[in-house]
Amino acid sequence: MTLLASCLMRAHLVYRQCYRFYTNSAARTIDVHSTPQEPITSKVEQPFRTSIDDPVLHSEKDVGLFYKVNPEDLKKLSPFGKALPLQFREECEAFNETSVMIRQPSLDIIKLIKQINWNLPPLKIVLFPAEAGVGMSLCLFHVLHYGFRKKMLLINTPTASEVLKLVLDATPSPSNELMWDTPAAASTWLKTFAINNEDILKETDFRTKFSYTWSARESTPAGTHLLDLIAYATDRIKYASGCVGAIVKEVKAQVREKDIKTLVTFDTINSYYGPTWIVKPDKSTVKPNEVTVVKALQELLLPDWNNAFIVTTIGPKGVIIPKVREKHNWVVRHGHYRTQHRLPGVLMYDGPMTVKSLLGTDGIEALEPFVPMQVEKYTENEFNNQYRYYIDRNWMQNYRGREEEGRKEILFFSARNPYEMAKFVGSR
Amino acid sequence: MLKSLFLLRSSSFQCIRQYHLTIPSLTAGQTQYRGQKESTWWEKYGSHVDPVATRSDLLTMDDLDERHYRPVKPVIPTYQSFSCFHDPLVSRVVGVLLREGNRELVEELMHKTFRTIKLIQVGKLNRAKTDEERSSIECNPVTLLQQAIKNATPIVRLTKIAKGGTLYSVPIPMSPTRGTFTAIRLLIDSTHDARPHDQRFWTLFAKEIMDAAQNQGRTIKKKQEIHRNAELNRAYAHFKWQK
Repeated sequence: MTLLASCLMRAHLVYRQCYRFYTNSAARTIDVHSTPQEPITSKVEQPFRTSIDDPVLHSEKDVGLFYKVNPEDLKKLSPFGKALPLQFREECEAFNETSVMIRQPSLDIIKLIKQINWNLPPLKIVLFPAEAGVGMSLCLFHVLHYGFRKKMLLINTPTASEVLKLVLDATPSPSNELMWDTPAAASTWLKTFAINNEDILKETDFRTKFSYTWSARESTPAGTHLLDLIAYATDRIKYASGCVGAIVKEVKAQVREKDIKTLVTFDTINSYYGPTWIVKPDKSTVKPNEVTVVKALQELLLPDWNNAFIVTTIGPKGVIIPKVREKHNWVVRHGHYRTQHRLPGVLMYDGPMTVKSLLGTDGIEALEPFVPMQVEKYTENEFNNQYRYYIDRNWMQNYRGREEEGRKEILFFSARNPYEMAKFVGSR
Repeated sequence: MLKSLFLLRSSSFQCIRQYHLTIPSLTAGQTQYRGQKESTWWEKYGSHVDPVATRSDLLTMDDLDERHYRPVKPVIPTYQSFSCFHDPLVSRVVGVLLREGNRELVEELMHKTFRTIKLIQVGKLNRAKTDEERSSIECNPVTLLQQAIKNATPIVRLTKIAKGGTLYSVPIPMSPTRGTFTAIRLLIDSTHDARPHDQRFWTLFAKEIMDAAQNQGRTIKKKQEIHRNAELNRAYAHFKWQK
């Protein structure tokens, strides 16, 4: 027999010794699914849902309750489904309904919208999280729904503007040599704008004040309806990014005369002031200022117009990563598990998670002055309501999760963080 | 800076060997091991004392108890837990899927797989019109996994037995532990071959589990292939006991 075979046989014999260690200590024989137990009888409690469908009618009493979003409203608000985060969207498809929890920050913003003086330059609100995954996008969606019901003009940049940076097609702009166009992203933005504001644009007969020349032969005269302009730009995708700039200019100029209130929302606005993932042919990165759509939307933050209200969200530190291909350089690399104990890989971002460091100097300069609103983790009441909602929708499949012990364990594991709770409950 | 401390490369490029060679007499010389007693990780447990078994024992422990000053064996290994959501079968699947000891990654994969299964099944449940349909749809991903593994375990395997100078493939019965392992491996291999291949692992794995729980799909085909081969060589089955 070869040396290798004899070594392997000896190794096998040696390994047999260590089986002893498992059998001498308490053997784990419990199979958790073989012993179902009685479910606890539900006490008569406060309901966790409201029947009030309309965010206009929501009040302080409704904090922590779920309201169901009308499917037609949802189609109008987010035609491509981008206004809500992906995980939430998948769960809504499984539950066959879209229910959003009413939380304190969105109610505060709605209160401010009711009180504001519309003749002053726009008030900017920045929703920043206490921790990552605390539900800012859903708060934003609630405010958006309120604006929709109140017939405000919605300038909604629904996706985390990372999409502007993850684009597959970034072409140099035909009109300006330094700028870069993003035809696909721009056309989706325009379509979203059209579908959001169809009614308002038709009612007020919003026509362009200025004329736009796209090239030597193509131009749009002043006085075209905005919806026609958007249809034209969707046909001629080459000029879609320019059209975004045109719409921004029109809105800023005319909203004062027409007396329409505007609600502007940005999701993860710090990606507008952070690194882009578009790379020029000579391998240098493009700055966000050089992307047409981003530059146009940044003009919305300037204080030279009124009748507007701006709500933004700060994105997580994932937005700060310079290049998508090199993401693995920013995650901790572990040694072997036997020699080095380890925690799951963390993104290496050395700075603090405050608004100032996530936005950077450019962002702060553009956004100042703003009202920061912190979005907290769930309170006890909100956590219980979310737990009961998951049980109601049959999302918690493990019967242990429906008991008191399971609830305590979910509370312990997720520390009342909405994202962590959704992840934990999603896999049990 | 933090980054420079932690930017290690993968273990194959590392200068220091990152895993233990387990045969003491054959270990290569970076450690100063000269055959001392109780310096290898499994021999150390030889002198460890049994841990406290029950809560009453813990409360009635006296000060002269051995466990205060001698090393104590762990009650359960690190990857098991007393959490009410822990399942030994899921742990086993995680162990089979492990690569380079990256347990966290595999746990995340399993969580995502279960989430995918739940999304599909709970979607069907919430859209079902009649109560009968609702009772027939099985949503619990762990139950589906158990069902899938039960359906995919082969009962016999082929082994080579030498008789009269020739090697014959002989069907012999398979032990249940080995059967579970084979079932898990068949599931993973059929996920590896599944099409479209540019979808993520967890979506394909979820589909394989659901198909196997319904007794359809690639995994069941592979198990039936094993059974067919065993059936073909049925004539030699007595070789196992005849010698």
